[in-house]
Amino acid sequence: MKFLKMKITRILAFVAACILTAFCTFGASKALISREKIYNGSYYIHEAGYYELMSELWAVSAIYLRNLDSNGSFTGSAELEKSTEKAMQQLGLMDYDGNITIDDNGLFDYYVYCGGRELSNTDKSFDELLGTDYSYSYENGIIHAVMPEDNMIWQEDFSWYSTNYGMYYYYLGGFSKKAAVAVFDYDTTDLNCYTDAYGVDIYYKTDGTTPLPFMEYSEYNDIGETTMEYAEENDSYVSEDELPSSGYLIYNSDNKQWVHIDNKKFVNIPGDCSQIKICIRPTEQVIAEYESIISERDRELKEFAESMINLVPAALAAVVLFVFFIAAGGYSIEQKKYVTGSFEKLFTELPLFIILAVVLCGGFLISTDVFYTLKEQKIYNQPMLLPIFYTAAFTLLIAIIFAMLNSVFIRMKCRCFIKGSLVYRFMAWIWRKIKAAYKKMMGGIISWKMLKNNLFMRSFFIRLAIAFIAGIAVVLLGIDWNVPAELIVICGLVILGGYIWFNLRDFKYLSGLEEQISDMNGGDYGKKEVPEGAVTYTMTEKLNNISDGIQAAVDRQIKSERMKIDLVTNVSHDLKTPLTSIISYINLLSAEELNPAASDYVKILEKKSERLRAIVSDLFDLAKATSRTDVQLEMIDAVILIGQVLGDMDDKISASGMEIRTNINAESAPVMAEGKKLYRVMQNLIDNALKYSLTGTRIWLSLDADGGEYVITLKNISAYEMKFTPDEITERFTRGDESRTSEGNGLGLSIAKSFTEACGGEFEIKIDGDLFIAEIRLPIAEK
Amino acid sequence: MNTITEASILVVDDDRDIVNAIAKLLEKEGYTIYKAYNGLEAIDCLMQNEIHLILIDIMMPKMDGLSAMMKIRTTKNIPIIVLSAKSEDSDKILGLSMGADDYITKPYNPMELAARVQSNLRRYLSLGAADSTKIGSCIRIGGLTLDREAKQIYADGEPVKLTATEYKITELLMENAGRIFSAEEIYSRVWNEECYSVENTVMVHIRHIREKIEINPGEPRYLKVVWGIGYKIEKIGGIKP
Repeated sequence: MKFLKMKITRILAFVAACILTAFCTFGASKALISREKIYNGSYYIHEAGYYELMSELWAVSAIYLRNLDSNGSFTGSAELEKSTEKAMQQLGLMDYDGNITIDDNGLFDYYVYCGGRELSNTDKSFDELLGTDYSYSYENGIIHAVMPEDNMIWQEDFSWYSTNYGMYYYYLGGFSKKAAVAVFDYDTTDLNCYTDAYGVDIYYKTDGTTPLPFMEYSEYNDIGETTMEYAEENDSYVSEDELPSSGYLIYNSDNKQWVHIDNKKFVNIPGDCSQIKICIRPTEQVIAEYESIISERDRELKEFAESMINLVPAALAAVVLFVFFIAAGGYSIEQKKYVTGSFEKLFTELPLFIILAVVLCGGFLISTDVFYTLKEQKIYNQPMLLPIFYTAAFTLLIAIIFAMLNSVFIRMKCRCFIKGSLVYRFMAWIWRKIKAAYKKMMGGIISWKMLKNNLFMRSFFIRLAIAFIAGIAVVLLGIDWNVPAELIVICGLVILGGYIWFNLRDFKYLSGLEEQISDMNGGDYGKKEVPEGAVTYTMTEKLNNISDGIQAAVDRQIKSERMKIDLVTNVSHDLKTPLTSIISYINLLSAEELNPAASDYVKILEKKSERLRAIVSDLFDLAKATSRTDVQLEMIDAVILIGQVLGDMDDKISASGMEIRTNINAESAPVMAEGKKLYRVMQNLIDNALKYSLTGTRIWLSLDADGGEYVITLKNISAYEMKFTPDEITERFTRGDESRTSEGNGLGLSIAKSFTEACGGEFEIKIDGDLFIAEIRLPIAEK
Repeated sequence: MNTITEASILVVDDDRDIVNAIAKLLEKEGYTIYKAYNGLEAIDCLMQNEIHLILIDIMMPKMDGLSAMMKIRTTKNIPIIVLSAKSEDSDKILGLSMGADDYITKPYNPMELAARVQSNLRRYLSLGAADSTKIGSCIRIGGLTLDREAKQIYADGEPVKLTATEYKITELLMENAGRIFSAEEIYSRVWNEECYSVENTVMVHIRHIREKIEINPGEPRYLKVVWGIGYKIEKIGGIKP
């Protein structure tokens, strides 16, 4: 088996197949040439002159013999005799001595009978000549032929025409040189003559007494036309309408006029054509010769067939070898698979084109004059030359075809038939260009994968392709093919309708997508369902996944907030309980009689424990505010609130020695907030300002409307250099004075910020040199 | 029992140190103290002794303060003061609605605690349980009593010295307990003048009144500031029968 897979085996098989092909071709061409010789050299006995002889014999009978009486003397007028003789002479059937001359080439025996007159070149009677084969006879107006070649029996009328007015027009089949003659029986003096398109001599008189052969015009159209053409040439056209209902028009060339001749002017000639009997038969010698040729030909044909049959096994072997060559082609023993050779690196179209070219070339060689030229040069007389030529040409042709087919099949086996084609490469090149252009344009990468996954793009491209094809189709339909415009319009409308329908469907899905995004934006992370084929299917799925993720995150967030609140509550409880004891016992201790030092210590403890209580409380508030639970917003008036805060802190303000200047630029300032929290914010800010302001400076508190917001601003000059950023100061436990010499726990601004934000506002600290600015922005509430 | 200081008080808390501290504090005032460390003990103690006031924690083992309070309220209408570390408004509202008369958050101020105990006892023992009622020329809201004829206000039975303006404001708010008055409204009705930018003035007066009538002005029981809106005196339901 390994032997079969080897390359050398294939090559040997190919060579062997070529040799066998050459052998077969040589044999076949030799046989073919000899067969051609048979045909070319063959002899058809019916071509020997049957028709010519029959025509001549008939003409002799119909023109001349029937006018003779049994004694051989002419029964018609002297003018008719003269005319008839002249006609016979014109047909070459009579010499100028009045003897009938029949040219039978010595090949035929014939017998003619007419009106009691006989004409024969043999002593055989009509019936004797009328054998079962080779005979050709006319009797009772019927042609009867028994031919050896095809055994055909003709039963046609002979090709002549008669006016039945004493004028004959013979048309003798076109075989003889002078095929036809017109004979005018009543007046042949001054006969003129012309030759029509069939080579027929037409005689006529110019004195206006002899009619032209104007027969039933429509029935014998060709003849009539011939006449008319002649008339036209002589500027004497007669249209069909002008033809007389009876009689004839005679053209008088002297005065260039047509003259009407009445039927009565014609004289019917005696005699009857139906009496004519003719039979012709080749001589026995000719028949014998012909039959020997036929038998020789049959023998050669048999030989040809035998030699052809003998070639069949070799031809089959060649076919098998070629099939093997193609089936095994390209297999590599080393790689255990089919591999391409160097020729396969060229375009797939190349072998296909070569095959086409070779086939066309072979067809050209066979069909064109090349072989005929060779034949004419009598090359086939040198028996070997033409077969060798045939063999060389055909073998080369077959070898090239199978070599190319082998290459084609190797490409198919290696799956590079399509990919290796120039067309494919060209398309691929265009595709790459499109991709590059798309990338340049859209910034994305176009790929099959993308088209597979991105349903939107896929849908776009499919629709583009359909629209493109439909457009071309409509244009083509419009160009030709007799397609009615209505159909094109309907097609266009259908395509347009389909396009709109598909787009509407897609837009519906798109709007569904938008709805989903809006829902997500609004906090609804519910899943959406779309059918799998929808353009937004993958997008919706992905969005669903995102929704799930967000929902999970939100759930986690809520859970962690709750845990945080629980933690803060627990921690603050755990802090508060011991603190309660501490405060209680300090209180009890302070009531005891103590020495002055201990009493001082207790006072410090009292103060610090109070401070601790405040911090714990603040911490708890802050933790709660940042988790934003339990905020109860209501409509309050920031102007009133500021007044209340200032009133509430009146003592503290006057005690601090600072002055607060207010600049409220609104009658009222409705905002949605929790009063308590906002109070805490203002309190903390004012506390802060009182605490850290430079002595002798003023604190400015203002309220303004800014767009859709109220801005409460508190400005003060810091007593300390502010070495922190606005962000840092709102961090927990950051204090304006790093040495922490003053009171405060550093949570004030953090709480202010958290509480403001819990009320839906914005809190911002700005620092400009020593100027400290706190800004609270709250959206204006609709009253 | 004739005087408030002879009253007996039940202190309930799972933290023994706190119970002891409160006991010490109140014993100094002259009260008789009973101690319990969870809800069940509190109920037991209440069955066995005559108790005039209960100070009770919420978060306790075995039976928590709220449950105990509900149980107590089925039979007794003595004042109950809740002492809790839970400082949320929601907690306070819950406690008060479950039958508490007062709610003190931990860590408490001992002085305030004593004052509240006294206030509640006085109201319970000397003034009876009727609250928030108008008796003749008197308006009574919780421990606050306003005598229109004498133009005098009593806080937990003690007369409070108010200026004429302060009295008028208090009278206005008490007559319309529960209703929120804006500063303008208060001003126009008390001062009988057109008002302009009076927030500060009214607020200062309010604060002064608070300092006089409230035990802890920072955490007022009666006179409340509704921030950003106005002022009101709470309509207190009082002790339930």
